[in-house]
Amino acid sequence: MQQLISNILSGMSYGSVYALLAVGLVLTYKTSGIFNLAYGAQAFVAGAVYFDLRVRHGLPIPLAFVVAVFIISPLLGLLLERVLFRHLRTASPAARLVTTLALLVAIPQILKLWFGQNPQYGTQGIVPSGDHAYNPFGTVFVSRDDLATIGITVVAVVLLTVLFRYTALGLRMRAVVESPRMTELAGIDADRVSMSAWMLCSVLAGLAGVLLAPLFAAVSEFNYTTLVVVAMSAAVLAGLTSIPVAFAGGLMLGVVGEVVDAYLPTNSVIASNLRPALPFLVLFLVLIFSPSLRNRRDLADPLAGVDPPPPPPAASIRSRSLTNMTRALGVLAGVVVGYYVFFHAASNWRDVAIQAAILATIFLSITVITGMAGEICLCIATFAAIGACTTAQLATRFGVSVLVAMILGAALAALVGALLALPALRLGGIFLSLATLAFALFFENVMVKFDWVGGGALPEPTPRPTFGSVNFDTTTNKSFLVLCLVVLLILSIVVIAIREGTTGRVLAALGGNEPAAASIGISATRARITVFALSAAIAAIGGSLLAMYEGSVNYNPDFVSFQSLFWVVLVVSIGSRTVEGAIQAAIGFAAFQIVVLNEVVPWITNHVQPWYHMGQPPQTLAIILLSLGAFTYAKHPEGVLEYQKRKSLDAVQRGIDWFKGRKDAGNPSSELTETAPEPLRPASARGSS
Amino acid sequence: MVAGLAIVLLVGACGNAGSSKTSDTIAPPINGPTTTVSPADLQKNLPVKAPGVSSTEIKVASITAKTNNLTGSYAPLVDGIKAYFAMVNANGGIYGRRLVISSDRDDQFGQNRQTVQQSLAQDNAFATFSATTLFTGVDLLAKAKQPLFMWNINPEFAGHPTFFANEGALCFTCALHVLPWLAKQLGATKVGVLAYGIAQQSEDCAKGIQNSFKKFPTAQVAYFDASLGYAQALGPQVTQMKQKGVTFVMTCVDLQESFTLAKEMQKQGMKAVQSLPEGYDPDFISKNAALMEGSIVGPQFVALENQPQIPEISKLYEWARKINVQVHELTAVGWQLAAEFYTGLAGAGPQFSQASVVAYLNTLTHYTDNGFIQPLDWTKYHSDPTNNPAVRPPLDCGNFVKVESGKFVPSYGEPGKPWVCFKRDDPTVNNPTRMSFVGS
Repeated sequence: MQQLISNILSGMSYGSVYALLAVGLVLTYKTSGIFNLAYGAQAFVAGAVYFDLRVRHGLPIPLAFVVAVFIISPLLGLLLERVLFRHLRTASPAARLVTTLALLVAIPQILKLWFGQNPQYGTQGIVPSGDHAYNPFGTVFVSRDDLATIGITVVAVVLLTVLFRYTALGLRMRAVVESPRMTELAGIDADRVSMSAWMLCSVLAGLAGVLLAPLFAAVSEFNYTTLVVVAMSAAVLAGLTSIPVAFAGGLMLGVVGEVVDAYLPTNSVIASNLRPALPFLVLFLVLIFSPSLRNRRDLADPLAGVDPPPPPPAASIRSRSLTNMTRALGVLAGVVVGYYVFFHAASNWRDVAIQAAILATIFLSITVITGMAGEICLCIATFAAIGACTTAQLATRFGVSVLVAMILGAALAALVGALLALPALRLGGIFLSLATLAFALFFENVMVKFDWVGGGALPEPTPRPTFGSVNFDTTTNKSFLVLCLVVLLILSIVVIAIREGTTGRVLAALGGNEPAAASIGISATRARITVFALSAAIAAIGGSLLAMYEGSVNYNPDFVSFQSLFWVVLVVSIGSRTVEGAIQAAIGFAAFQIVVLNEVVPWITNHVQPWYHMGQPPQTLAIILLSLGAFTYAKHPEGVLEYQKRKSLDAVQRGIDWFKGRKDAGNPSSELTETAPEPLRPASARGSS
Repeated sequence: MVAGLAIVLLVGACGNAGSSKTSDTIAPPINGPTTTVSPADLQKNLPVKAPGVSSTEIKVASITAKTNNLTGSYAPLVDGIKAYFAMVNANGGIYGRRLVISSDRDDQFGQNRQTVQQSLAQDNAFATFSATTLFTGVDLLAKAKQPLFMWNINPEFAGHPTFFANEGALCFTCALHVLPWLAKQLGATKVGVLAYGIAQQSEDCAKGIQNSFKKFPTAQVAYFDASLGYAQALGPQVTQMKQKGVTFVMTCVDLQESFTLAKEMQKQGMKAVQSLPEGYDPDFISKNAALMEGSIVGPQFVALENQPQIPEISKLYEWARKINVQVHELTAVGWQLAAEFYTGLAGAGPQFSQASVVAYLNTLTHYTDNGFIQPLDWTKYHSDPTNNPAVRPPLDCGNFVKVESGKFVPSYGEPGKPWVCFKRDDPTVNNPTRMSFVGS
């Protein structure tokens, strides 16, 4: 009993860390309607600033603390609100989530231009001699740093609860989240309230960043993001609404983790698999079984109905002749590039082409789940890994033909996708996304470790297929490139057929108005399960091809959960509604490495770095550029590609009108666009203009 | 999380090579590199048709994980190579040619395969130097038969005769003398073992420690936990170790978890020595001096703090100073790999080729970089020793430094003899031999 009490008290120390982060996540959601995946990155900023002032420059603790938490942090919140989130208040949940994903990637990289790439050792807390420990109950030990964290977290929770329950500002913050337009009708300056909310959230993130610093050997964004993932469980437990419950949830996670650590046998398979996965398991189970989350959707503006519908795809308003011309040009460009890549280019360009084809295949799964069903799935890489691992295991250990193994892998992934969709169906928006993220983390922490899944210490080998007399060898990769292109073509046709078939129309109806669709007998359940399964199968095929191409299943670089986040940001930024968007995103991603990183970045290194020494700038800059591209999604939820296509269409139209006007002055111009309506702009775009 | 998984790939980089009897690198190290070839031959500039070789230069490429790497940038490897090349070039180069790093690529932690592809396609390099965490480009380099000189922390190293390193193929689960002997020196009768459960190599490393104490039972493994998550609190673990009387904790974790362990031990008042598998980092140690006091680190090579300094380390410092770079663990490794490359070139003769350099190195049975590293027998050490005892080193050696007041202090060796070695077939740890491989 004494031991149990000791574990509980000890767990509360670490639990208060989770609690602080969970409270911050809930606070952000309550005041902005945004589930801030970049919360850890914001905390990292404050932690780094505090470290710089306190450790590098030797400023007194109070001064460093005030600057980091009460000056820099709110300024960061202000900046984010003014530049980004103000324009996202009425945007779709997907747009908000993608923007925070982009921030999660971009903020640490931008900060490290100043802070440095290498680990910065020598972290310090906000109390002198923070390591000094007390043991008031015999076997229970608490350090000064622990006490500071617990004390400040409790004070923060009390103050926030009071703010939201008993002050006008708290009420206004909640009102702005519910509906900024209705709030403004009541004479409240929604912009100012939103700004205050973001500054407050950022202060809390800063507080977490500074308080957590002494837990780590070095100030690193990885540490913060890791803990935030754990804190998500507590935030979700609170339904993203209750600050006291989030606090309690965080404490509970800390205590449960400590008790599990103390009582589970340390060398059992259960322990080694369960312990690292516990937070993700809790997150997944809470999402699936919590009654408070049943049929819960994201916060949505009641006045959202007055927003115009998103603009139609450019292809649908383009004249047939222009469409044909565009397609002909596309085919011509494909043939020219293909000829060059096959017969003239250096071998690494063929590798780039293969990577692009495989990535495009995987990205098609995002086209299906996000473009067609409107959901953000954060386990695409996991589905790809399931395909890759199944293919490798069946082909290598059981001698199954690798192409047959690939199909079986796709079937297994489809089954997993359908099973995942079943309980997750009642969730939507951010909750569904978090459920898929929890599944990805669970797979990563538990399943991959089994030899029969991940292959053990060394990656599981995966052979290339042979098809009749064709050997998809590794010497020139030409035949394998053809195989990848054929697979991509087939799957593209399948996706287009589904989008234009019954399932696609059902999903369009559900996306337009789900209750109305249900009233005419449309089954959302069947459609969503179909889409999940299909998406998983497509990703699995892509994953299998990737394993074949690389000769083994390289889980860590290729299929980690973070990869899904990055892929989703990329595809939705380019355009998730079309097959073309997926293909262009893949080409851009694959070519980025060889063009930008090998040509552009070295130029920057040579010409810019001598003026301003930035440590290791090349790849950092590249990641920042790529991430910042995702912010365009806030303005153009239809994707950059679609936006540019519409702009190009307008330009071509103007050019033809001008030409026709000169040719037959006085005659009305023949319309190139069949309907050519004034492009409607989404709410987010209006808000940003 | 993923980074945490990957970072522990480093954990198993424990010493594995031993010594042999033959010696292939002999010439006295005056102020330049050593070789068996006559000085006159080394200046012969004969036409050579090989990738990256012109009449004036021999170009090499480097691929290191610089960005996104939790343990910090591996860029200092290149500094070490540059220092060695600067020394060679200042002495007239080799075969009338300068050694040049023509391409210095960053694999960004997760882009090793793509980076290797580009390097092979674009760099036209004679050889590649590498320090990476996720070595996914392994098959490409092997298939290209590109001579590779790498910091060996990757299990993928095994089985490729064109790969060379500062250490032979790793054996994570092998029983070794060194740690049980160390426990005995520390007077520890009960030891603890901690490792991650999220990475196979970390678990295997823990099993290796367990196997070592089974074979050489100098102390009881009183606490064994190979199921840690990344950045995990260690309260219950420390409580139990303390209750069980553990006084020596061996870990297969990264610096972050070593730090957490030290803090928790300090908090709970547990007096125990900790081994730091990744702790040969003066910056980390000096910033956490009080916390890490008494910890033990076993570098892969002769600790740089040893006095008298062996000539090779003196040369490293001298040339690092001349090209204005600092000496870190990776700088030393870069130097060692560059020396190995030079030895291969010198041994291949004035009409060298990639194949002849590889072939020459693969004849060496006792290469030590003038005593800087443990002897390498490249007739054996490409093979995976896990299930093949015949390719394991005949000696089991380690050299140690202890953390004292934020500095590394060489320990357990003797002046001029930093290595503590055991014959591999010795069934006890009672017969350690202090050794130096300089001039051996």
